[in-house]
Amino acid sequence: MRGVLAFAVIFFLFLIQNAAGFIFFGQDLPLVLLGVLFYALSRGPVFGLALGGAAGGLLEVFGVGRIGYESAIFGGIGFLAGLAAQKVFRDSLWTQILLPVIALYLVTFFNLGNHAFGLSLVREAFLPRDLLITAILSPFVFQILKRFS
Amino acid sequence: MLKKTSVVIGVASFLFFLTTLPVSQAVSIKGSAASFLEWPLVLSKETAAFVTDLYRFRQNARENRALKTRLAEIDSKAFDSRELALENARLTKLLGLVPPQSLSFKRLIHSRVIGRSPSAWNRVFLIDKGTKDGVKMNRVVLSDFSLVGKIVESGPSVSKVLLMQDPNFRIGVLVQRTRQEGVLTGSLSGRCAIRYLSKDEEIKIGDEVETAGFGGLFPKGVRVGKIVRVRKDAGQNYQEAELEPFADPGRAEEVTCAGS
Repeated sequence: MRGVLAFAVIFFLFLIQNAAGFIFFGQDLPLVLLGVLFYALSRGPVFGLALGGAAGGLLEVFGVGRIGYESAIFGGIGFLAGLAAQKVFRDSLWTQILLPVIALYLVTFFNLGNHAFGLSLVREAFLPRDLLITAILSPFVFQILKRFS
Repeated sequence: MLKKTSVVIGVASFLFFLTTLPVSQAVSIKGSAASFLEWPLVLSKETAAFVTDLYRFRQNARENRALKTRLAEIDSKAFDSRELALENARLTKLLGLVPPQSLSFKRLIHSRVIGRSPSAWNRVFLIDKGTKDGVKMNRVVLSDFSLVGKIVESGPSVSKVLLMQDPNFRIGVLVQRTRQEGVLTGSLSGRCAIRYLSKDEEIKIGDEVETAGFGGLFPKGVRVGKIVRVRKDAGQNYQEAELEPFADPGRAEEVTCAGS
């Protein structure tokens, strides 16, 4: 039952992320990614992989061309976060700040592989602004999700 | 332990299988999924639109006042333009020239934006019109009769618009004043650049840019934006310009698909 709730929460976060895209255009709020990390840390690598794959599948709707790339990236990140749960404490502020930032940069790094690789692209991809917003947003999202799960 | 390993292998294999699907099948699956998600996305967009309207109330009031002043200026300019157009028509007839074809579209399909990509990797819109409504691939998408992007995928009732700010976007453009041709591309940061502009002529800040209509895939003469920066690197055969689009994708809630 709690597993189904996690999928429902991810779907809800996807809708909020879409709505946020209309309010703050040009600024990405990685709510789905944060949801995947939270549940992966709570429920382990296998659940993280399944949830990440499903979350990536939702984001595929906005992708152009091939399918499965975003699912694979999010699934992989969910799996890794689940493995990390054995080493890190989910409720630690450092985990809530650092892990999402690392995950965001992993998503960016793997997405680079889907584009023509160039130095200017790397420079544009790794934006400090995204890092800062993720770091600020993450503890709040984790607290809210903790109350709902 | 064995069960967990088999679940991991199963999910990983399924994800790998998805990536190997041909693009045509992938597009079809995504089209159906997008149609299925249409109503939840519309609901979230409408909620966001309500919040944005409240949030932008003062800004909209200011903009309204500024636009009224601008409209009065444009009315005056339109009067001058009509005079010039009549004079041009008379002179064209006198010289026996073939009049240029004005920009016209056979069909305009108006649609609502229902989803915006949350990622800089895919700057796309989802719109609530699809193949059932006549939306086809590679149609230009306009907002306020200025270019916003083009249709890249079309499902039964939802289509995907690749915005001109996307790093994968390419379209031939020309600088209206100098007639220099170049290629418009987007970037991850959302800026638009025009590459391969010849160095022969000086491009000025504020020069307007329109679509070039190369290859006949896209119509010629669609307003794109204006030049805000020009860069000339020593040793390069071409100059590069940064462009500010006329259409603001952040404000676009309704768009028009145009078929020539």
